[in-house]
Amino acid sequence: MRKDSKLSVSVTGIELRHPVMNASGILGDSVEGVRRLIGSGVSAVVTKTLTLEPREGYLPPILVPLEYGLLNAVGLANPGIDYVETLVREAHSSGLPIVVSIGGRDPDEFHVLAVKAFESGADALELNLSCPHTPGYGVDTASTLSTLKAVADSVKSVTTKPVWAKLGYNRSILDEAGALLEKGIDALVLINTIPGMAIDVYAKKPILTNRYGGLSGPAIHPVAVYTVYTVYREYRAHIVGAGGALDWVSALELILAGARAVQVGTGFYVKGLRIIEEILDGIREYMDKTGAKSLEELIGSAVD
Amino acid sequence: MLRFRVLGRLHVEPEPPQFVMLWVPGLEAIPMSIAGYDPSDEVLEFLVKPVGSTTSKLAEARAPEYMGVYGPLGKPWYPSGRRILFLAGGSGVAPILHFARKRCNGRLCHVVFGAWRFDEVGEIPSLLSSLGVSVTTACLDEGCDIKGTLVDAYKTLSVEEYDEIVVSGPIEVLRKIAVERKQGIRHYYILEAIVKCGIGLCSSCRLPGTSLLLCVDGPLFPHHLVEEVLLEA
Repeated sequence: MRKDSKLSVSVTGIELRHPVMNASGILGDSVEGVRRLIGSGVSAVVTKTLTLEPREGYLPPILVPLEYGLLNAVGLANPGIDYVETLVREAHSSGLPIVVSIGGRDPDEFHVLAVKAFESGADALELNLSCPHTPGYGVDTASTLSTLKAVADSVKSVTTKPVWAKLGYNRSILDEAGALLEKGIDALVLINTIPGMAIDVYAKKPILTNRYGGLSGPAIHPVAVYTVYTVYREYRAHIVGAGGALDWVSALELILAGARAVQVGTGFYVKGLRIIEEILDGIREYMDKTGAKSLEELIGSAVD
Repeated sequence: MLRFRVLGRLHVEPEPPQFVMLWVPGLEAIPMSIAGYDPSDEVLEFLVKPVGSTTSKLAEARAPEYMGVYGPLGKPWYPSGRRILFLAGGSGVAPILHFARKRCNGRLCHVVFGAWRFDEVGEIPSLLSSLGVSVTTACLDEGCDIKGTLVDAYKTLSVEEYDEIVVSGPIEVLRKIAVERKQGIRHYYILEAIVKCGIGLCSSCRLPGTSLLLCVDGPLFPHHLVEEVLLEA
């Protein structure tokens, strides 16, 4: 594996050899998927959001490719938390840290999920507080600041390891981020998909079985940059940026806005597994050209 | 056989054995082999056997009715040999019809088409004949060329006459052919799976025990890639 001290970065105490990893929901739900991710060169593996029981998800159509992104309503299909050990073992066998994404319907479920994930050796947790399309989970769980805080308390009480929380863009993002950081959440993952709908004009019906879904890709990139920037400026917290990182420029924008690492989701669909190396090559070249000595000096450097 | 005119645009012309996700608004989207495509009037053809609620709804569809289509998905396959034998069971004949249209000109193609009963054979043999492809039928009752299953027919064939064999149909048929596989000739199988996203992201169509995703790596696989999938019953 490639050593690259210029690109190395530490996020919540986890040493990453470079800042690019997958976003939750991309390939991280099976041994074979984790292997493909490792082969792509990610610096950490993020699992699909795991719930207490396995979930089948929605019937297709679960995904609508658009010119400017993807609209999906998969419905949190996943093999269930008891599969976490297998995923952790696979990532660790290649020496990569693994961030386990968990989705609970209430603070107690998050508690149980966190215990199981850490018992299996997870290096960090990512709390899915923002899936926009699965009733009872994500945005529904995190509908008030007091439940957000209760989830944070409940998860932080079982571990000293890093806990990340993934939020979507909304008008209360600063309040939500502040509440979570106050409760000891170690990093924020910004942003999840944002709600969207596509209608077939001939069938005169929403295309997704769930009717609405989450929009990702280039369409939400400026929203992601804005959100990372705004939260970083307010709290100077550890942030992992996600949303439309499809090439080195869009990835770097998130870093200059304050992200210490970047997650790629839709990019895997648009460019395939080679996207990770492509982004890294671009950032290396940029650093050479501009004389940047470390990634650290770039993080948040666009924020005044 | 259902024929749909494409109202939007297909970005690329479909090639066999590609498939689409065919969306029945209000129900679900299901993977459906393309049985034919006429670029002059942009008409897509599908062979639909009513088995569940979605396929039944499809089979009852009468114009004007709108369905959604997403694709073509999967990889095209180009035969390398000149003499191709197709073994098709039931509605597994759909992609073979598309092959017959697009790949059999200048080749020697033969189709063995198997069904349970003679009355299920229907228009398929005449369709294939009209495309210049020779056909042998097999069914369990009287009326077909061979009385027996597709696998029975395969056992009696002299495969030396062909360069490649493509098998398409229910998984049980594929398994049995894989077990009985004759040496010295390349076998290919068109598999089925539960396809959801169709673009290799959700992994619902992963072939068990492998890292192959049917929607992007298939649906046609050479024997050596799927041997364990087919022989592990």
